[in-house]
Amino acid sequence: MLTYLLIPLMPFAGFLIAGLFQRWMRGKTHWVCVPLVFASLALSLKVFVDVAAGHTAYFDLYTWIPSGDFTASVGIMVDSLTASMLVLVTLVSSLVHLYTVGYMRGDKGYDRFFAYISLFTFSMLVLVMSNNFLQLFFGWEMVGLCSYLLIVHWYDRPAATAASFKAFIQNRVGDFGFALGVILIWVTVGSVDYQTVFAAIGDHTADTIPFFGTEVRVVTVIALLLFVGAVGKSAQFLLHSWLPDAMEGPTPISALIHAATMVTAGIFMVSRNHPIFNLSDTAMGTVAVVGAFTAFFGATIALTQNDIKKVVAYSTMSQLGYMVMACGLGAYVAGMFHLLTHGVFKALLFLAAGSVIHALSAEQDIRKMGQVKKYMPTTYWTMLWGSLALAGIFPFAGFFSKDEILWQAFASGTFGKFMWLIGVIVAFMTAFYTFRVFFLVFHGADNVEEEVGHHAHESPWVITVPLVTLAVGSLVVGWLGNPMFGPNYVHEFLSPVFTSATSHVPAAGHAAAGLVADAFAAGGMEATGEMAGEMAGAAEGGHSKVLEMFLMLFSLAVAGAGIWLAYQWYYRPSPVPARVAESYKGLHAGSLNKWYWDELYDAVFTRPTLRLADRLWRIADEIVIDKVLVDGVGITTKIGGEILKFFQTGRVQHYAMVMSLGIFFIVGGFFLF
Amino acid sequence: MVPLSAYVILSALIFFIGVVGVVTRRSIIVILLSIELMLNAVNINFVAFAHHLESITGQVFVFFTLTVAAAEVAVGLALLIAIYRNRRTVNVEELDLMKW
Repeated sequence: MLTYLLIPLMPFAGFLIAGLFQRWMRGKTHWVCVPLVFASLALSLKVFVDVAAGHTAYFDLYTWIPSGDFTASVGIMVDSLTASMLVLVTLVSSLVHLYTVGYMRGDKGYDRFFAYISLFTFSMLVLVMSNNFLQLFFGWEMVGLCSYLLIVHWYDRPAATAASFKAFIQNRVGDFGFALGVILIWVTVGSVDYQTVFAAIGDHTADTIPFFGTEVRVVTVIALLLFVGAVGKSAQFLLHSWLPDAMEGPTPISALIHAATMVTAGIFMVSRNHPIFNLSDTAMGTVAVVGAFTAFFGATIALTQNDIKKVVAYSTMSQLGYMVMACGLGAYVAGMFHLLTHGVFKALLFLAAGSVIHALSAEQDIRKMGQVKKYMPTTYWTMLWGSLALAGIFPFAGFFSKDEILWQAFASGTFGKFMWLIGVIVAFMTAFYTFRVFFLVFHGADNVEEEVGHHAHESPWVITVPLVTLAVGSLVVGWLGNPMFGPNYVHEFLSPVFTSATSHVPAAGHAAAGLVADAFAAGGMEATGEMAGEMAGAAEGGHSKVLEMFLMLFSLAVAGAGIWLAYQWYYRPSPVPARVAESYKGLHAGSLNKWYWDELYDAVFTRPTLRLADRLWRIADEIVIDKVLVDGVGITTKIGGEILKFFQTGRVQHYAMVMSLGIFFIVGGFFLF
Repeated sequence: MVPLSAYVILSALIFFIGVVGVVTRRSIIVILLSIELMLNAVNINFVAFAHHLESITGQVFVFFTLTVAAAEVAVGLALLIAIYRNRRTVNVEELDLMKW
């Protein structure tokens, strides 16, 4: 038990010490924080091994809120899902802590940075180890807070402040939906404890609640509300625009928070709550569609961006879309597999980008790079491996996990095939934009400014060691989930979580196929719907290994084509990309401007809100409250006095007259009534 | 016998004459005189009721009011003299320093 507790508490101790004793530990906080988080990693690995041997855990530590009908406890749940996340979080966090020593050296907020990344690690660990919704929500909110604190690390930059607000507010909108979902869970089931809820939710599968006239199923509403939280946290379409802006924060946190951990919390949460999601085809369909759309949307924008970090950010948005899509199709294991591999190679890409930025004196525009390979060979090779992994090239990790998702999609009926198609198109774009950046930075024309070039050199070991570690990971981790040679460890390790008694797993391929079947049935084409279900069932039965292999080779070819195109256009300076951009000026501008989505939100939400705030300030506050009410009381009193003062004549006889009249009327009145 | 109401009406009349004097007259001395009138009117009332109710209490109380009246006159005249020495007037209409 102590092991479980120490895992989050050690980074928390790092936060407390670095935070409270900053003044005495100027510049030395890494001696505390780094070992603590590595120790947490060691314990997480131990827990992982234990879980693999079958030792899961589920217990409450103490009652947190005993309040009449409502009780919530602080507790721990450790199963294979938790264990995978523990290792990912602590591994990436440890490497980022180490990397920070090199990257943030000399920064005036060095110690504060360490305190906050340790706090973040603690929060994320609480989130994944929690055994109930409220504790999850605590971790959920805390990681959002840490994200805000870290994005605005360089607080004297207005862009950073704006970005941090945007991140926090969009997250908050998601959190609002999530909180409503949790409340609805409690109202329906009477508990927020996972085991209790998952066991009982099946009994409520037919319950409905009224919504604007019609009756909707409670489980659908709950699932959709919970998903709103995931949309905010994982930067899915509609609550996505905070993620690219979050690149204002230092690169280590882009790697830690906005690639490997916080943004994956949404997908983790959906996977953890699969018993609820599995009960609602509508929710699953929505999840899949939102995920697929986000994958596409993010990739289209990444194609034209010129800031190296923005490209990786949109790439993250897109890959998260893949994971969300997988969850929506019921392929939770595939989604989690991609989450784990992506965590590794995306963190690598961010850290490598940071290495380049650091070496080029904070230059982030890829148009001012080129031929950087000669300065930084290690960064070059590690980023190459990361890029290959992201593009999904065999034998790197991304190949296996992305392919798993694509295969699961293809095998999920007609609807799934459509998702597969989108996934393939996105894979092409991913390979293209990834290598566009790679070639422009490390090859292509040497556009590095002279001064910058003189200072450019390979990064210190504290930066390159994490890069190499993650690069090796990008190669190796995928093999753990390969479907061809030997056991598919990932599948074996994670499946039990999703096929347990409380998982409420629908019949094979039912979820998405069911959606299609319903759609067709409504149109009177029941046969097609059933066929879709059968096809999915057959696929799940493993008959089509050949099909699987074929699809794998197909996606490999698609990715290869993307890389080939990028090579043609960017390996050497070429006028072609500029000409293409000219010919498709509208599309190019649209992509470069993020499809004007920020402008849309600005017009629809931000500016009206600011206008309302302005009105409330100038009119409601300054005029109504200050002038009319407050000053008004004073002025009224004053004028009243100026009118009444004429009674004060100073002549005693008048006073005596008033007194006697008064007495006369009172006594008279007393006698009359 | 003289009915009680006669005495009460007499007392009331004298009292209100005093009130009018206090409120209307300009000379402080006359105002003081009017105040005395009011006090004495009340005394008549007390005695009348004392006789009517065959209780000596009323007459005893008259002693108190007479004493108070005397003391009050002393103080009032002292004030009057002080005012005259300062303001050279006994016309209350000219004493309106407390005017707004």
